[in-house]
This record gives sequence, C-alpha cells and structure tokens, in this order.
Amino acid sequence: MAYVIVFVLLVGVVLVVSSPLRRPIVSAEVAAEHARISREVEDYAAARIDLEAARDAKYREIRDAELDHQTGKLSDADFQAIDSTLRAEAIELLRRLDALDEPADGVENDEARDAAE
Amino acid sequence: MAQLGRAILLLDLGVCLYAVVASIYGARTRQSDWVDSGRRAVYCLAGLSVIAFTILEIAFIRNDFSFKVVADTSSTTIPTFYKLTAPWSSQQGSLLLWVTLSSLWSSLVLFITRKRLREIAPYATAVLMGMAGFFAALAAFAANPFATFTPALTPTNGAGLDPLLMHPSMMFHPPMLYSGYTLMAIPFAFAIGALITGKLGSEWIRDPRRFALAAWLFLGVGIVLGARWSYTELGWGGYWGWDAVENAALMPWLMITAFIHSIQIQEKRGMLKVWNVSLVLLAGTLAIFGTFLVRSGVLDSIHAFGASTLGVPFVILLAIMAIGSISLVLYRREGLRTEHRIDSLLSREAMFLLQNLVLVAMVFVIFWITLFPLISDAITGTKVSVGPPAFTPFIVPLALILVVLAGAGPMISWRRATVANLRQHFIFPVAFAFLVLILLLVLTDAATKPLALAMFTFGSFLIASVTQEMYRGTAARRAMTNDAWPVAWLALVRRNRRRYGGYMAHFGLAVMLIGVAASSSFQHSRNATLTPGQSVSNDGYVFHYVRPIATTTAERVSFGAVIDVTKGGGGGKPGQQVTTLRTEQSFYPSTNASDGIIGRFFDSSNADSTIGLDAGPLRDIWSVVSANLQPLAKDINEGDKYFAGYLNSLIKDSQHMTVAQQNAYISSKGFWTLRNEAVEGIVSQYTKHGYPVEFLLIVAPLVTWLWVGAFIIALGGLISMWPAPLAVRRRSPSVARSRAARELV
Repeated sequence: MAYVIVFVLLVGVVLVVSSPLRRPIVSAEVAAEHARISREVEDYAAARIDLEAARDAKYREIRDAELDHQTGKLSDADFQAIDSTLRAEAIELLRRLDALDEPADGVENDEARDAAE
Repeated sequence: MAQLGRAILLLDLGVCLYAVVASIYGARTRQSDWVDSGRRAVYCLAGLSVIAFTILEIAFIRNDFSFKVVADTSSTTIPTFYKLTAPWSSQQGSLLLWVTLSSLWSSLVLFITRKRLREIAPYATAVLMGMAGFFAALAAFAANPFATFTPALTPTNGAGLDPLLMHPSMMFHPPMLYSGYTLMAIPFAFAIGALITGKLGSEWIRDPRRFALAAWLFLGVGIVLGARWSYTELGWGGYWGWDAVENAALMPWLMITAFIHSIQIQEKRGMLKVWNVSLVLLAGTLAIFGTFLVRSGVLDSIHAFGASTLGVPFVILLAIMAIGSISLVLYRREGLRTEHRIDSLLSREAMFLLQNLVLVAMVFVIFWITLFPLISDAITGTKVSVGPPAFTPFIVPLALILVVLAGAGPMISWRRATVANLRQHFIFPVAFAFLVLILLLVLTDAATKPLALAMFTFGSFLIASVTQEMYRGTAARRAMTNDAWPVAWLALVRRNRRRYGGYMAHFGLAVMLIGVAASSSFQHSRNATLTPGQSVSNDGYVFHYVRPIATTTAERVSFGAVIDVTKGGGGGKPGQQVTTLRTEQSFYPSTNASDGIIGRFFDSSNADSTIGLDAGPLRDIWSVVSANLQPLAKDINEGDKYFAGYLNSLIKDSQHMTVAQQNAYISSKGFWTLRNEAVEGIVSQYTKHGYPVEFLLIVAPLVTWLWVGAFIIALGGLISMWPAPLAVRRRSPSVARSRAARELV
C-alpha cells in the first residue's frame, strides 16, 4: 500500500512541477512570439506593481509628515519644505504610472496591460 | 506508514534539489517556465511535508511503538494532548516540523511574490530550498523520525515524555519558536537574491518585510511562552536564566528588532542599505546558530536535545551562510551606497540608528558571553559556566538606554527637529518620569536598587511619551473629523498601523521591563523545611503548612502540600487570609527495570513540579514543594524485594507457557492489582505521618506586568503587520496632481 501511495505522490509531484514546462508544442516562431508577449506582460505587470508600491510608500511618507505637523513635531516652514518635496516625488511616480498606460507603440502595450489586468 | 514517511522524506530532498536547480537555471537563462516550475516544487514540498508530519502525529496518537521516536518520547499513559506535542520534543520530530513550517512559509511568500520581484525571487527560492533541503537531509539520513524497530524488538510501551515537557506552553512554545526561526530565512533569502541580482533598492524587502515582522512576532511569543514555562514548571521561581538556548532565540530576535526599525530609514530616505542587508543576513545566520546550539549538544541546557552528531553539518551550513553573506555584501558594496545622509542628529533617523547600535551591542554581548564556556573549554580545557551575573552588568545599562531611545524616538520628527519642538514634546514625559522618581524615592525602598529605580523612571518616561503621542494624534484626527475620542483613536491607529502598532509595542516594552526590573530586584525568596502546622514568614507574608496531600493515578503519583498565606496579625491576633496555595511534586513511572517494581513509581529523576501561585497585578506569591520521600524508602525497598520474589515465583510456575499466556497468568493471580495497592499504601503513608518537607517560597512584585507587557508588544506587532486597508492602495484614473491630492485626503 505504501508503495502505491508513494507512486501516486511521485506522479502528482512530477505533474505539478512540470506543468509550466509542458506547454503545447508550437512552431519556433509562434513560441518566440508567445515568449515575447509573455515577457512584455510580465515586464508591464512588474513595473506597474513596483511603481504602485513606490507610490504607496510615498503616500505613507506624506501622511507621516502631515501627522508630524499636526501633532506639532514639524514647524510650518519645515513641513512646507518637506511636504512639497514629497508631493513632487509622488507626482513624478504618478506620471510614470500614467506613462506606463500611454504606450509609444500602441497595440502591444495595450495587449500587455489587458493581459496583466 | 513508516515506509511511506521515509519515502516522503527522500521525495522532499529530491524536490528541494530540483527547486534549487530549476530556479537558478530559470533565473540565469531568463526562462520563466523553469522559475515557475521551481516555485511549484516549493508548493509540493509543503504538501509532502504536511503529509509526513501527519503520519508522525498519527503514529504518536496510535501509540505505534514500532516508531523509535514514539517509543523514546511517548507512552500509553500520556494524555492525548501531550501525544500531539510529543513529536517536537525529539530531535527527529522537530527536524520534520522545521521542514514543514519552512516549506509552508516559503510557499506563502513565493505565492505572494509570484508576479513581482521576478529577478530576485528565483534566487530566494534557491536559498530557501537549499536550507529546507539541508534540514530534510538531516531528517532523512541523520535523525530519521520514521526509523523503526523490527517487530521482535518493538516495545509494548514507550519510555514516556519528559514530565517537564508536559505543560500547556509546550503545545505552542516550540512551534512558535520554529516558526520564528523559519520565517527568519525568508528576508535572509530575499536579501541574498537582491545581492546576487544587484537589485538593492527597497523593493526586495517590500513583501518579505511582513515576514520579518512575523518572524519577530512568532519568535517573541515563543520566547515569552518559554519564560512562562520556566516560571510555572521548572520549580526555581525564575523566568529567564540567560541559558544558552534562551539566548540563542533572543539574539536573532534582537537583530530582527533592529532591522524592522532601520528598514524604515531605507524605505523613506534610501539610507543604511549596507546596515539593513547586514542585519537581515545576521538575523538569518543567528537563527541557524541558535538551532546549532540546541541540536549539536555543544552546550548543556535543559532546552537542548543533548548529545548529537549534527554539530558538523550545522557548522558547515553556518560557514557557508557567513562567508557567502560577507562575500556578497563586499561584492555589492558600490550598489549599497547610501542615497542620502542624516540631516540632523535631532531626527528620528538618528534615534533609530542609535537604537540599532544598542540592539546590536546587546547581541554582541550575549553572543560572546554565551560562547565563553566553549571558548574557555577550547583554550583551557575547562568549561566554565556563566549565569545572570555575567550578563546583567552589560545588558541592564544597554536596556536602560534602549528604553530612553524608544521613548524619545516617537517624539522626534523625520529629517530634522527643532529645539522648540523638542521642548514642547519632552516636557510632559520628562515631568511624569520625574514625578514617578520622586514618589518612588519618598514612598518605597526603590533607592536601594539604583538600576531598577532607573528602569522605573525611564519606563515611566516611555509610557508617558507613547500616551502623549496617542493623545496628540487622536486630537489631530478629531480636529479634522469631529469624531468621538474612541472613534478618532481607532481611525488614527487604523490609518497609521505601522506607526501606532509600533508605539503600542514600545508601551508594552516599558510595562514588561518595569515588571522585569521589579520582580528581579525586589524578589523575596526563602527556603524552609516545615512539618504540617508550622509556619514561616517571607516579606511580611506568613506561610502556614496546613496539611500534606498525596494522589495516585495511572500516570503518576503526586505528593504535595496545602499552604495558607496570611498577612498582618501578630501579638496573638490572626493575620488576614490572603490566599491558599496548593503545590505538588509528581513522579512518573520510570521504564528502567533496575528501579524496582515499586521503586519505579518514586523515581525522582522522572518528576516535575506544580507550583502554587497566587498572581496579582502588584505581586505574585509563588511556592513549590520538594517532596521528602526518604521516610518512605524503607517501605519502597521492602516492596521491591517482596514483589521481585513474588514475580519470580509466578514466572517459575508458568515457565512452560508462552509470553502472552505467562502475562495472563500473572494478571490472573492479581499481581498487578496487589502491586497497585502496595503503591497506594506507601503513598498514603505520606499523608498519615506528615513528614517534614522542603519549600521554596517567593514573593515577587509586578511579575504580571511582564506577561501583560509581552501581550501588548505582540498586539502592537500584530497591528503593524496587518495589511493596509484596500482603499489606500486603490488605483485611480489619471491627472496626477488631482489624484495625489484626492488620495491623500
């Protein structure tokens, strides 16, 4: 019985682990095209996730500065200076996020965005 | 079942090796299919390990003594609850638990990051699976939990679980510690991945940061549960003995504490990159170092697994981790350059940095003093023992500085603070601390212990500082929303979980350290030998030994005492009743035949203590009895002789029978019933005669503060860890300026 269970587990492991490698066999050109689109999708998704995380971190920083100001830890002058710097950095991140959705070569990035979303 | 377990362990090892190779190959060739395949291997490892661990648990529950580990650490008389916990009381079972937990955490982090950190994650997978593979290999080849006896040699009962481990904490303490240790590997692995790929911004820690916090939380809870076990089970009245294994858990915890503070500076300012990556690498290495201390048998400790052959593999792993980490940091030193400098020494960054230095200094001190016996043994051939007096002269001053910094840090803003701001914020906490100092000097004898007095004062400063921060934050929130105070406070904490969860942890730290300072400095401890009816006083309390108690069950025989505690009185007047304590020492039957048929029920090396405790918010009254069995020795010896002779005669009468028939014959003659009656008879002598017994009686202030403080710290950690509300992370349409304004409201 133990041997049967081990065999079943082994087969299960092999199936799960090899599933990403068992793609349908297609022509080299189609495979290359798939790979290219897949990379673009992944690049788009990764860039978007990184930028969104950077944006969230910046928002957190701005909120921290606001809270420090509201609780009297930062003077008005210091707060103005810090806040405007942080907001400028946040806006730059938002611009980069927007740029991600405004592709230079139209269709391909739209495909990538749709796939990633 | 054992065969299946052994096969799964080999399968585990194969899966680990595959995951390492596939992940590295996928990363080097940029083939995401291979990276995906490596990640799926981690999921498989988790599934397989859970199955293997379940098989082991079933073997314990079913009393399957063909498993060597079950025969060594369990028996038929152990309650089911403790059978469930017994697997991790052994080297073999705990190695399997390690692999299981490690694979589960690794699966979770790799699932979360499956669409991000695409360059770092494959190397992190390789590191995580390399470490899991190391433990799987140990479990498969050096300490196999599925090793079995041949049917002929399978015992009918096991040796039993160490009585000291039969404590409710043991259900949670080891899994918490192992979770902490295995979670430490996650930031370690992602740091290695970041160093290999050169992606050294803050991205590599964004997701693993939560796992670092989880490691801090689990390890911290594990340490406190261990302290609680020590306080209520070991019968010495303390909760922390600076034991090597305790220190082994404390060091990575302190290191990861430093990291979860300093990473905020990197996230906000792009500073301290070398420092942060070094802290993570050190914490990961120290977690394995702690495991080495527990499992190698190099140091004597009640918490360790004793003699073992696992030392050399661990030394090799530690060497690889240390040399690899140092080499990678040196190789990437250019990429780890700081992006900014600290603007001012009056800034939160500077406070964090100072606090980090104190924490690392603590680790340094603990490391060298813990290792001193080993160094001494290597150089002089004499293994000296070190205890609390070696640690406290260094650790206490550092802890005092830490408390001050923990109080000052939240009151200082990021980047720079002005003297006027500081004055405005420091006035209340400093005044409060000063008031507490004056009150303590006037109303108590705290001045006799200057370091404890300093801790009370600085702890008060920290409590006042956090309370003020909460108040000011809530007031600022109310000014915007007009909410009621509790609503505004909840909203404040909810919107700023990291900050206010951290403040709560600081508050808990103050409560805990005040408890530690009070209970260790002002503890009154007294040993007394009493007969029933006698009394002894300790710190104003009178302990009256009312009567002895004794019980016999299938699992153990217990001897104890009922103690009445009163206060006041004197001059013929009775004191005021405070509490009644009941303390016991229990003896578990040994499996050693040489202890004798009766004597095996009174084996003092197989005993544990149940303390009598009256815990209160201001003081604990603690007691333990050491049963005096000397007067029973004569009866026990005579019983051994009588029953040995009787058994021999029965065996002689039945020598023509099979073993099973012989056992049935001995039972039919009432041998075991008679033996049990004899044991009960001897036990009853204890209550009839009221022999003198020894007590340890302790009155200690504020011990409860320690546990409450630890609970608050854990709660603060949990709040900090909790994910931000989705609304904060939502995506919004374009037009950058208006979006920034709207999202920040």
